[in-house]
Amino acid sequence: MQFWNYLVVRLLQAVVVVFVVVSIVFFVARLVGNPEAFLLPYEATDDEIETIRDRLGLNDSLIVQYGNFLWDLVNLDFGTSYRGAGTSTIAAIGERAVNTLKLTVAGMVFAVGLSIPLGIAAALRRGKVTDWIARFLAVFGQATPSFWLGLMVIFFFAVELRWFPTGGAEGFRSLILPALSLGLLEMAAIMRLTRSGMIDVMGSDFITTARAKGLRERTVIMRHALRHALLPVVTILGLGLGRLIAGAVIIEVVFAWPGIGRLIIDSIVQSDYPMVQTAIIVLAASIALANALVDVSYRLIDPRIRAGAI
Amino acid sequence: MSERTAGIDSPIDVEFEEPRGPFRWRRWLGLSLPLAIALVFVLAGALADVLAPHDPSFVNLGARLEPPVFDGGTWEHPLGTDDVGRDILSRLMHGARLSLIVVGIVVPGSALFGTLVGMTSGWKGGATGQILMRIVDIQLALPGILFALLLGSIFGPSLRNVIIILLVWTWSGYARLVRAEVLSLRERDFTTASRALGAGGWWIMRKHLFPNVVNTVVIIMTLEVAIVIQVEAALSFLGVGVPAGTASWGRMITEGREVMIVAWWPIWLPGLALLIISLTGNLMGDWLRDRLDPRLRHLH
Repeated sequence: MQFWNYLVVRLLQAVVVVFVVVSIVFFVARLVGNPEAFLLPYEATDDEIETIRDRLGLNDSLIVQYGNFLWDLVNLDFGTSYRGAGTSTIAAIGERAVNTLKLTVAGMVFAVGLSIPLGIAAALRRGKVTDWIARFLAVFGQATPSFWLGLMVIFFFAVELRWFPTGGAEGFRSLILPALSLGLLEMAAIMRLTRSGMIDVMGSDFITTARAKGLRERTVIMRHALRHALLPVVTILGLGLGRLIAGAVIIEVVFAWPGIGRLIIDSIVQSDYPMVQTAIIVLAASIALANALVDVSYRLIDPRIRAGAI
Repeated sequence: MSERTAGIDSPIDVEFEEPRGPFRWRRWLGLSLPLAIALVFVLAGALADVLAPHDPSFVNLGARLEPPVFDGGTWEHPLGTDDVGRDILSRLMHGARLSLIVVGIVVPGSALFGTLVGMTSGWKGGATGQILMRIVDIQLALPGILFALLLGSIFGPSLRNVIIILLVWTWSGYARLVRAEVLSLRERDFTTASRALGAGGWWIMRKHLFPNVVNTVVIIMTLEVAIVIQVEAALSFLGVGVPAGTASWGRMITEGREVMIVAWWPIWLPGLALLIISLTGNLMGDWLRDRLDPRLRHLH
């Protein structure tokens, strides 16, 4: 019961976080550009400018605009784009978000799937060849700038070898190069933390005890050591999700991947306020939810953390 | 994660002992080489004005895309020139100075602030902890890149923006991880024992919590050097970092991208510079971590 209470409280906190982010985004976005200059031809008269500002509500006081904005959000009305004959922003974003989600998930799957087993193997064979290779990969993965790697990967695998398309989002083949470039940085971080966590834990008394009880080595590692070692890893996964989304913005630009990150950059260039706002709110809400779930999963993994401690 | 009080003399540690003898070169690789590279990087950056052979922004259309000296070029431009004839070596050196400034301000600043916030909120819990952690959550929920793009488009690209963005961007990571560890440490017996003996919060933080989180902080700072340099490059690559024309490794990569098919050096050299300096930071951090980890120290 206590767990469910915690879950609800934590989700409510996420809502508060989203509210603050929404407010920041609103006030920051209102400082950017002149939307009416974009919507009208250069020779527009002052009257025409006034009309359009009125229609967009840009002549109301900031507080009134803010109130209207919040009220619309509560009603799930995210506004319409200044571009493309009043398309609903949330509809446009929905489509792009699926692409970003695909890219982020593929990047994360790539990172976790390779790094955790590698981290465990490196910790258990510390100082041996496995450890050396894993650390070598991690060190290089960590050090390679993802956008530069992306460009290099395009050059070799798409331009020279023609194995994969240079960009765009057409089918599974076009997902591989961007996901690979995106996952690399996280992979290194997760591997390092899994390794150092495992090494720390394997030296603890309770591992000796577990071994002394005659448990199989496999059980000692999977049931006793791994649960401890994964506590910081869970944190880095939560943080990593944010970083992957941030990284996705860059990777989407490099690979011409039609995701939410590219949409934001295009929209900022075009002073398309509603689109930028909606996109950032959608991303921020996803990350707030992910962070809440990370905190909740601490409880499942580390029972020492009791109510009141958080 | 590491706990000073347990397992120091337990026989199990023998299993994890570092190999001696034949692997001695790893110590060299782990410290001397990175230290030497870091020194070159710092000197090249700090003395860029004096040492750089050319003005980094001098455009010479007559000397466009000259190859490096080891690929058929001349000593006039040891690392060749870019697509408008600017000297790449000079631009790399001035780019190093830019990275140096950014790292020197951002990494210590965010580590100090983040650790303080993480320890305070982990130890105090209650309202203070709650408020601090909600600020961290807000921080983490607004992706730095979006904040960067917003700031960049309002105020235009500038070095000041990059530093502000990176400070705001990175401190919360320390806070969150340090807090996670402190939450776990405060439930441990040695903390409880200390409290039972009448130790104050500050004393426990200093004597029990800090020594146990310093590992984590150093590991993150290590990763952060590479990340800060790379984020600066990435922001400049996207056009919201330093202004166009500034010698920055990120901007050099953007410019090199245009001529990637015909000339390798304008994109490879700044990319390699980024890679090498990030590697260096990480290797030095590894070495430091081995020094700072008390259970590893007794094995050396």
